Amino acid sequence: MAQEIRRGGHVFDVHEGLAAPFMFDNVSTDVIAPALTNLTEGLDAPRGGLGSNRGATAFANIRYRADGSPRQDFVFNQEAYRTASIMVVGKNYATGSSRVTGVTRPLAAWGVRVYIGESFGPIFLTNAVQYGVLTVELPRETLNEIVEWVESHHGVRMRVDLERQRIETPGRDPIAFETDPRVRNKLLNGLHDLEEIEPHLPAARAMRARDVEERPWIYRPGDDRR
Amino acid sequence: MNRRDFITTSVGAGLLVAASSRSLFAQFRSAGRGGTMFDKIWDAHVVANLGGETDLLQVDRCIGGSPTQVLRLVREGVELRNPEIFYNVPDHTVSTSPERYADPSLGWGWQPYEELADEMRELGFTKAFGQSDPRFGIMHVVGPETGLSQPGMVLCAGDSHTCTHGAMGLISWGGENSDNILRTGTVIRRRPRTMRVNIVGALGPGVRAKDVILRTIAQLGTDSGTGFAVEYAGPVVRALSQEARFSICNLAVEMASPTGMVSPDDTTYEYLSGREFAPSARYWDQALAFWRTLPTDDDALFDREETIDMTGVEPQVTWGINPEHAIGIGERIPDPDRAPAGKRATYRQAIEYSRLTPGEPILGTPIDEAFIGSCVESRISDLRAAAAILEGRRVASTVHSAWVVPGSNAVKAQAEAEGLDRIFKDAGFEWRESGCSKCYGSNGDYVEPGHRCISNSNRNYIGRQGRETNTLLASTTTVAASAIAGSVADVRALL
Repeated sequence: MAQEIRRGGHVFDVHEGLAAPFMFDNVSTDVIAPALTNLTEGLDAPRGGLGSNRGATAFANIRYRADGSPRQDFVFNQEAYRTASIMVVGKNYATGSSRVTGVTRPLAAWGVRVYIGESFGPIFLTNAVQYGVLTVELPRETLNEIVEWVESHHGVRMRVDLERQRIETPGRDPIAFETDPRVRNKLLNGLHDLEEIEPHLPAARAMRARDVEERPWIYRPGDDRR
Repeated sequence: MNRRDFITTSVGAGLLVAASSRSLFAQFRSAGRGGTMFDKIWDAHVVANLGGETDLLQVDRCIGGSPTQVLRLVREGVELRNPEIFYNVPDHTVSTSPERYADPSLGWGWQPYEELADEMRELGFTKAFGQSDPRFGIMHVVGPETGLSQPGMVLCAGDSHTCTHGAMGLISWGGENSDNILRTGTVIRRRPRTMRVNIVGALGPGVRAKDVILRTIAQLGTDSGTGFAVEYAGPVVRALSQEARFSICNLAVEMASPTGMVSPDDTTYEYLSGREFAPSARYWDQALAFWRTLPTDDDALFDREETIDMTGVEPQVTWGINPEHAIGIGERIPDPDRAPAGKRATYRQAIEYSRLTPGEPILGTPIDEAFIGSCVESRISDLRAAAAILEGRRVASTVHSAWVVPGSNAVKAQAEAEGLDRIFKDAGFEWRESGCSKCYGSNGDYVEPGHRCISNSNRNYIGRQGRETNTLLASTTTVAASAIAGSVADVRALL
């Protein structure tokens, strides 16, 4: 199902696609979007997946040898995974810097819509929600089973259903997962942050007005050194 | 009883009604709420609950609102409130070359900052500090140094090392898009659980705050803080200077917690007193009374507690490809085959990438570059410590490049007033202008391909400082000692 990538307010209900295994721990955003090859693809980047030319610079430092030739042991250089839209990852995936313009946005624009992993870098978690990208946390044993399925079912699409909170891998029982209720509601309804905040603006304004009275020094930095 | 259960009881509901009619300023303490500094500050900033553990919070300070961002919103017709809570410093993109004033096109992604900033300043966003501003520097040095980062705040920014400011006794995190804050003064945030890291024992000679936090991450793991806000506590932390506490909190995000903090005390208040944007005499006593309500209660409950004993711990250095790969300066490079099963693959990748030999001592590993700078340890006390090591000594002739990048223009001026720059230059270091520089290699300042750099920064991931580069993380004084030796060195031999 094609998902339009806009700035905020993305809908995610169900995604079907090919999965790629990338079971490493503590993969830093420095590794995903290396500084000297900063990915600056715009929101309208055409589809093609990480194996396409447009995805060529992702993971550059571990994807290519020093002479620029692609390493065949790197998952997105392999034919079976070039158009993967689901990544199965390890612990603390995408840890470190935010790199939203280098990591989340372009990878979402190229087609990665779901990350299934043991845990995620805290800043990546927030960024992913902004771009309608779903992160699912599952225990290591379950991830290993999913990877085993992926590797023995090349070309077979996985179905990730946020509404029912389950992953369907044809030939096996569905795998249940949990999502944060607010994130689930936001993605299913395509709520922009501002739509979530708006009902509470009067309360926010009232709190601010009270705070200006009670902690004036915060709002008058450098003030009254007259 | 957890927080949600507490609120649904009639007692809890009654207290909640009472609290909402009380002021933000007032103390709110009750059983089951933890009593940690984090709980107190978070609770006082909640505008509303948005479902589950996610709250809408008021933001008190934001590093953000770049000229392009602010002007774009203004052109959209957005009403921007409370401009006084914002400050903006283009630290990541400036060049640190001394030529940068004569040639403002130096640096990566440079924009005509001052022209755009002037337009923004007229709108009330007056704290836009371009590279020539005396207040300019690395944003996480500038906030505390100018008195903008204060106890009891919620402080947000885009950069991941925003956790640094938590050492002032506030809650801060990075990765935040300042759009919501500009438009509404609020952020949506899932409430983390609380962790306290108690640091005990005594620091040996040559052991600094950077060694403490490297040791902590090595012991607990680089993913140990996932889902937690971390308070660093204990006698070791209490004895540290305020500047040293920033070094500790800076690497909270390297243990996967974007929020690290230290409860404030007299050291904090004395540090803050008299700074440009700190509460002035008129408000000082009132502010101080408020700040004194913040420190974690004696009977506070954390979701998780850990202890790090620094007794006998040596200066640290990382050998591998993430911050938890830290060992003592006298130790040997680990053998992947002897690593815990879950870490073996990463250790193998690290050994291959770092071109080191398992079983060999890390001491004596040749280095090509030395970097002293970054938001970790580039404040005046750090530069004084480096100068004390370098005085009368020279960088080894085999070292290709050795830089000192002061944390801010103010630190630079102070260092020059104390003659530290002369010591650095006489030793063979380049004395640079302030900025993020080689920490992340994306602004024109980077480590050369194939080089091994010993750096007092906070990340050693593959390619972090430049393509095909190896980063060894260490404290400022270990970097200084290693520059002199031309290889990884034990600073204690020079004390």
